Amino acid sequence: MAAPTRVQIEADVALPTYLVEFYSGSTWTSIANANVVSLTGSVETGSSDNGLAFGILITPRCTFESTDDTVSLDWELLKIRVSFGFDTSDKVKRFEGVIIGRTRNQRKVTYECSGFSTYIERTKIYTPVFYYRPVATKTSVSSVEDPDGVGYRAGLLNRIMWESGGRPYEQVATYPAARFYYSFDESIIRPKWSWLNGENGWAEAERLVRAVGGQLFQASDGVIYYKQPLTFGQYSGTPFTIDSSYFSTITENNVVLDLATKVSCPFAERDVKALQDVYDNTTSYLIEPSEVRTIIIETDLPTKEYINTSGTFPASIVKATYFDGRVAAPTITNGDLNAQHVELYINNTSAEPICVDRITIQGYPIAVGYEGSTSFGAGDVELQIENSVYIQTEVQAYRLCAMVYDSYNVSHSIITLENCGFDPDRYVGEVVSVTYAPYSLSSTLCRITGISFKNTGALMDMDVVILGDLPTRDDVFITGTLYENSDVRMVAY
Amino acid sequence: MIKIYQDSPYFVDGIELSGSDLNLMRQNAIVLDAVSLLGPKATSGVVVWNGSPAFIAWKGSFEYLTGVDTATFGFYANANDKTALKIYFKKESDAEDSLGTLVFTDATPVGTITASIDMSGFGYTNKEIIQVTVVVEGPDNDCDGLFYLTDAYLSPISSYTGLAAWGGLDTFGDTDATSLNKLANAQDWLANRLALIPEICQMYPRYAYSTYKPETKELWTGYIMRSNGCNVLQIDFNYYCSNISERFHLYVNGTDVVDSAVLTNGPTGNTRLYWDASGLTENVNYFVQFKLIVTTGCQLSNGENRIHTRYSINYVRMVPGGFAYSYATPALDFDIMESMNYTTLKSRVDTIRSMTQTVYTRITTNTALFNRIPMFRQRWGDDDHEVTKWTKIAVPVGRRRGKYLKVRGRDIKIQYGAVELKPDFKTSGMESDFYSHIKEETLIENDKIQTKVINLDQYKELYNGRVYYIAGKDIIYAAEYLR
Repeated sequence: MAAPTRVQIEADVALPTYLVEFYSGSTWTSIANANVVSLTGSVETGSSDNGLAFGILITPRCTFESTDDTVSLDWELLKIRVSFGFDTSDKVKRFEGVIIGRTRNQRKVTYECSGFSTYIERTKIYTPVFYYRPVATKTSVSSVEDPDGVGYRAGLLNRIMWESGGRPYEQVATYPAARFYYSFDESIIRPKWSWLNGENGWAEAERLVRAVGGQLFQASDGVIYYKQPLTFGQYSGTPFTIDSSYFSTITENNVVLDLATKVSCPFAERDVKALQDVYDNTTSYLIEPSEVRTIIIETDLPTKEYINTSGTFPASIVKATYFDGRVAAPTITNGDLNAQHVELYINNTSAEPICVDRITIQGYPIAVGYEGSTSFGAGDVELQIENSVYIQTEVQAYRLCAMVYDSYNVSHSIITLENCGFDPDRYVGEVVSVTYAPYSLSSTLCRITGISFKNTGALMDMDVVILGDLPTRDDVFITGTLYENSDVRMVAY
Repeated sequence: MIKIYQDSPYFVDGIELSGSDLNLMRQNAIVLDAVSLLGPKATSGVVVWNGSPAFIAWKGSFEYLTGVDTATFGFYANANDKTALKIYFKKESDAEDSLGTLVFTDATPVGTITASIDMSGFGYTNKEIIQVTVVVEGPDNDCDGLFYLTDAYLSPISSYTGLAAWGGLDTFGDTDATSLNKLANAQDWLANRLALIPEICQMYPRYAYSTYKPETKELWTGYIMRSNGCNVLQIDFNYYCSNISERFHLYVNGTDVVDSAVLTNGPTGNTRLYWDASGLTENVNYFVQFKLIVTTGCQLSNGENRIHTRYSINYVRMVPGGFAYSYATPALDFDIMESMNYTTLKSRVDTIRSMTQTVYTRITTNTALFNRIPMFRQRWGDDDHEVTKWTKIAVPVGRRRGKYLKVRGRDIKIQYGAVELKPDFKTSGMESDFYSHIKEETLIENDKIQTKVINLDQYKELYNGRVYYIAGKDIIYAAEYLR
């Protein structure tokens, strides 16, 4: 069967259906509908009261109750997907994630499922220091995402996804069995220096997005998207129209206190410092003959460049002796030269035990220089952007303030549409046109920021946010695009 | 508002063109233009021979750059045939109490002397601070002479091995990433190029005593050079007149060119002295003497009550007439999300390009100013006692232009802001007077000689253009860098 058509979706008599599947390692296995006694869930672009807020990550959730214990044996972090459709069509995937919790009794098993952030938050990633690298780089059929690939220049968000098992959605043909997929815009702002140092990957992703603007979310199709602010209101063709026939209840929510007339942001410049000892440790290590000891080097400051030869530390970084005082010369090798984390391998190739008494590594660290604050707008109602290690220049802070200002200086109402007939064509991030005369909404452009399904997919609630005059990518000059001299656009943030 | 050079942005085709990034390049073009229009500072250095057997005539230092291997010194000397002029260079690793290595000797120093020293084989490390000591030697009580240092610099900067070749610029037919990145890289190149020329903190007198009786006292001597469109000599100084009648005079090559109004006991002034030097040959050094001539001395000119006229110098530099630097006119800046047509966008960006190209032309054609690294003059004084005595009175002075301050020495502070003078300004005895600034920060602690590079942005009130002072006895080097 084919995917549901608008005719099928909007038919007076339609029989919505659903499908819950789990991934057995090679194939998707269905759970019989008769055994799924309830199915609810939600997908959102962010958790803030402001649907256009940056980087407040929320992972999709799904709960289903089953009388079938098919998945009971090995349920932890088992991949799950939920699809909806109609009896005359194929079904469309509207949730994908992993099982993170289980409750069972004699009659049923309740599974709590979460999006792929579960993988990401468990992934520790270490990288070198990047200079003016966008936080997110645009994914495409040919974008180089593999850190070992030729011409690699992907952003740190891409790196987090890749190392967590994700692959670019645009390259699904190359990676048909990826753990999950991601699809990114290129972020507008680039921190001067950026690096990862083994923090919780999801938390780090949130910090990165908040520092450059935009939203990172897992959408209904299971793909993790990064959208930069100028694409929030972007659409092609004619937006789908929603009127009172689409929902049973409509609620508009405005909070005056969320508005701001001025946005301020602290920043801390980071500069490369002079050559110095970036690591000096006098802990003694006894290394037996032929033993290779692994020592984790953690530097206090991120290091732009270590003194090394073709990626390998000089042997002189280690001071070692035999027990009788003779100088020992173990073989030194090391892992990747990351900003703050390097694995050092000391190989005692001799037939006697040795003591390593000092390890000193030199390099050019990056340290905080001038710290300041800047603001955009005026007035007393001030919104303060939180401090971030990735906000490093006054210009970056100012641009971020301007972006946030556009989301907060006028009310972007959040409208909740309840008890809509489930519409598998709708997805979070989509721009739709809403008409509802009592609220003076007339073909008003809105962005879907949340969809929750209930009644095993028969109904759904939907949050949309009014875009207002939020600028889009079409409104601004794009680098490298040819324009007529008379073409009028804005310069971006 | 950003007023110092910032790292240029990076552009990618297909990505939104940021007005903030363009503003940053516009601001950088303004900064580069302004910095490259500055005139030369004066070379400070007078030596008066006193006849002792080994007299330290001049002490200074410089930052060595790999490939910039010629050290040039100019002297004017008038000595007897038993007097020799010697120059020593001292590396950072040399013993603290040594003079270092003898690199130049003139056994019969008479007239104009140019010492050109090839350093290519000296084994110096890039950016190492090298100390210079000029010694006049002769047999006991049988030598005599007069020495002036007229110049001290390294050259040519164009041979520096640490700077890539100039990448050129495109006119903006389109705003593609290639052209924009060329502009960004060109600005960074120019900033790096200008940053090779240290803005030396000049050693000037600070609340120094002149005299209390009828006589002529030299307040400052040195050499000036008319260059880069800067044809007027500017001396910023302040004074407290304690004599009944006195005047300031400026001599250029021995000619009295400025004679101030008669000053009488009492007035304290912040004064800016100008002299039109457009009649001098461009890019040639001229000898300058700034003197105080007292006609009638202090009323209380005896014993403990005699009072000297005191003075401070903050600035000796060549400036354009009327202080009218020929700044380029920048295009309008970009408001956040400003709307415009493509012609306007290209025009504004091309103006940034044009300003940047002009700076490149300016600094590559004026070699006398932009192909040389000036040297830092250390505090005068032949021995530790002398140096201690002059610590409060001879102070390196800077005027903020750049981002970093490089200092070498021990127990060094930076001072700026309003001055508090204690006790009474009129009391005699220089050791009993004390002045301090509202703002003072430690640059190097008092334990060992170190070199430190200070990001001046951390001193929030040290605005661009503000005067600051480097305080401390053991100051080996102090200079500011654009980035």
